[in-house]
Amino acid sequence: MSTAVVVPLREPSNHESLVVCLHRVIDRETFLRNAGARADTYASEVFGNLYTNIIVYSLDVKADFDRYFAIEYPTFAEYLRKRLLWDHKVVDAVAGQYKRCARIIFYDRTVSFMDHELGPGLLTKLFMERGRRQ
Amino acid sequence: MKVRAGFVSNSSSTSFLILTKGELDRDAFFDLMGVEKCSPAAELFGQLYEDVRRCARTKVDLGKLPKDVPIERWFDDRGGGLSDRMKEKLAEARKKGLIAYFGYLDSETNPVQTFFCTDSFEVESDKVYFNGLDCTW
Repeated sequence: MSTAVVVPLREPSNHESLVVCLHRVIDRETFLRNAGARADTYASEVFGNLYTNIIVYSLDVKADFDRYFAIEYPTFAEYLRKRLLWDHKVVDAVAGQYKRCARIIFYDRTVSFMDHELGPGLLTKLFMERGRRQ
Repeated sequence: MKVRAGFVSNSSSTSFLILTKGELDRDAFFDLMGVEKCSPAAELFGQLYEDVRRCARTKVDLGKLPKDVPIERWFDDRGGGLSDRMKEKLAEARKKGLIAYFGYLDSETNPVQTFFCTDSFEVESDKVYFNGLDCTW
């Protein structure tokens, strides 16, 4: 069973962004181990930066809603639709993850190798809990 | 004067230099990058490996070059594609008789190549040296 669901979000600027729905948040070491990146190598730098960009620098829309906007929008789905202007298909996919997720992250301005078919599948594997890699 | 109203993109290419003992092979390349061959990241670095093999315009067996000819002469360097750091490493590699691969990564070919074209890195193992420092982004 996967611990992450990744939903592509195509923006009007033709830039691919991803919504990363995490049932549990793994630490950086587990992420790098899942990637198959040895410590202190270029691969660990590439994937370490990827982890930081997602976990540290990206907006957690679930926390954003819970903390600031739950009073303004009656549901998480309405927050996604009316505040973030995501299309209905994405809203349905993401809002359905709300109760199961520790964090739901809007990973905007992805690195280019996430910007095609490799991206969502790769991130799903990288965010698996230890021992669940398939 | 022409006026363009709309989205304008920028593309670029950056030079790279690889030095190896013998032919560059996939196993040594993965070891250099620090990635397991059967890992999720293997597809990413496998694509980079294929791209550098395809994009290496110049391959020179440095051990077989005439001693009296400047090393830069053997490279298609677009009037300056070899950086000072590359020249320094080439001079060292010539003494060791290594093989040099020189070429350009392009930002418009595929998303994987775009990433490495726009990153700046230098990595070295006991078998391979990879200079991807010349990122102009």
